[in-house]
Amino acid sequence: MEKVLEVKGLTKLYKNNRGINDINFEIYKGDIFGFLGPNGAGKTTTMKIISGLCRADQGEVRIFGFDIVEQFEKAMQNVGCIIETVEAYEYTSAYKNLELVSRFYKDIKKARIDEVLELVGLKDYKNEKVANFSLGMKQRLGLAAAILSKPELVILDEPTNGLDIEGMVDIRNIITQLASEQKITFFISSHLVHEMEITCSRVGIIYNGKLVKMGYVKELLKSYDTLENCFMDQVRKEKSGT
Amino acid sequence: MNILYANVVSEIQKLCLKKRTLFLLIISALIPIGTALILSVFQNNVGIIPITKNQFPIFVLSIFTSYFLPLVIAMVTIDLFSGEFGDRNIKIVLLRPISRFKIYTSKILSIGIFIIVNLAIAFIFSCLALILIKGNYQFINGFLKGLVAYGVSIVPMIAIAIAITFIGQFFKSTGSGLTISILIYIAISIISRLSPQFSRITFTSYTDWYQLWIGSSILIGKVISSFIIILSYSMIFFGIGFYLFDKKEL
Repeated sequence: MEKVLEVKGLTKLYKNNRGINDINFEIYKGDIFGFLGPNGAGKTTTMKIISGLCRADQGEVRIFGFDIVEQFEKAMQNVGCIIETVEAYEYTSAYKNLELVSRFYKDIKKARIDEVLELVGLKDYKNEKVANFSLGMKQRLGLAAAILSKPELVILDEPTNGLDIEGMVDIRNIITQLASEQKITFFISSHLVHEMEITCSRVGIIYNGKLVKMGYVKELLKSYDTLENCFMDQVRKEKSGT
Repeated sequence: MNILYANVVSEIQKLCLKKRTLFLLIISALIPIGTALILSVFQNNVGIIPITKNQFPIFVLSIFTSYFLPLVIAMVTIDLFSGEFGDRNIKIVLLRPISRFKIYTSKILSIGIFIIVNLAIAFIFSCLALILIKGNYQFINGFLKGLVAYGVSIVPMIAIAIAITFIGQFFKSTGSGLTISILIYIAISIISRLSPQFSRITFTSYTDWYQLWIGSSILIGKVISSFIIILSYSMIFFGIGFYLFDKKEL
């Protein structure tokens, strides 16, 4: 299996003594890898280090074999991200936002911008200022920006955060559609265990800054009724120190 | 497209998409016209004006380089750095396949282009405003000297932009970054006026660098020494500014 992302011994401690400790995992081509954990477990910190927004105290991240610190441009060439929150230039339109993003990649034509806007359901609002967008529309725009360059790996930190049920289902459907049709590998974080169970092919459970369990969803569900039970079991073990 | 060039284009496009940029450029055009109007009223009522028609574009330039342009540069520079960190828009660029060095450099280059456009507008409108002032206007003593003066003023203005970029690294909001930048600029300017020795070693004293180029003879030695001081400050502020930018975490 082709390795897309490789994380080795990732450690980062903040001043408040929280952070992540010795995180190790790999993501393979075609995975929809879910990073499951409660708020404050270290999901966003890990994703920030992976995408170069933060530096680790120790450890190494390789994307498509390129070191994220030493070979940043090459590592990020085929990656699309939403980290923590969707950011957009609110003073301009959705289309202009994507046009600004498109300059960082080769051969993104105007038709591709229209194509992704249609895919995320924003085609009718493409000339509207982002300042007037709802949270759900901004989330869709963020996803459009992340997939604009046809990346091979898409990293999404809590992509359904703050969305209503319809918005969550829409985002989930877009992810599964892109994974099956365009063979995009996804790395998604969430604290919503049911969402992870139905979206992801593999999951890693992170708790208190440590990766406590990893496996294929189908395999985990052979031992547990639901992923929630698996998660709670891991939390109990972690709390009791067993 | 080269990634550095691509981000310069993007940064310029972002500047153009903001209404504030257009407003600042309109002000740049109105200052020479307003100044010429005041002088023409003075000329019509008193009969004479304190400057000749040939000196008018240089007079306008002195207003620009001493007060207006440093303020405009501070607004634009702080907005592109502290502003983007403050509203976290910087993440849009930081998550793209472009190194932080190229992001930092391209932002400064785009500010440099903004400065050139601003000075060009000021020069064009100061030439057009000459219609309002009576007297003779000579090609060499008026137009050419003006062109040279506006052209060489790009250098100290970019140096000021680089220094403000450095200051901007300490702030995460446009308001605080802009206020502190202006206060530092005013403080250095006042100290420079009070102490000639201090003045010689501060880069803000070289905003009238163009004066060395438009005298009856150009003092090559002084031009070079001034340029070295401006360049040295620029390199120091660029280096430390980039170091701080590179270490920033979101």
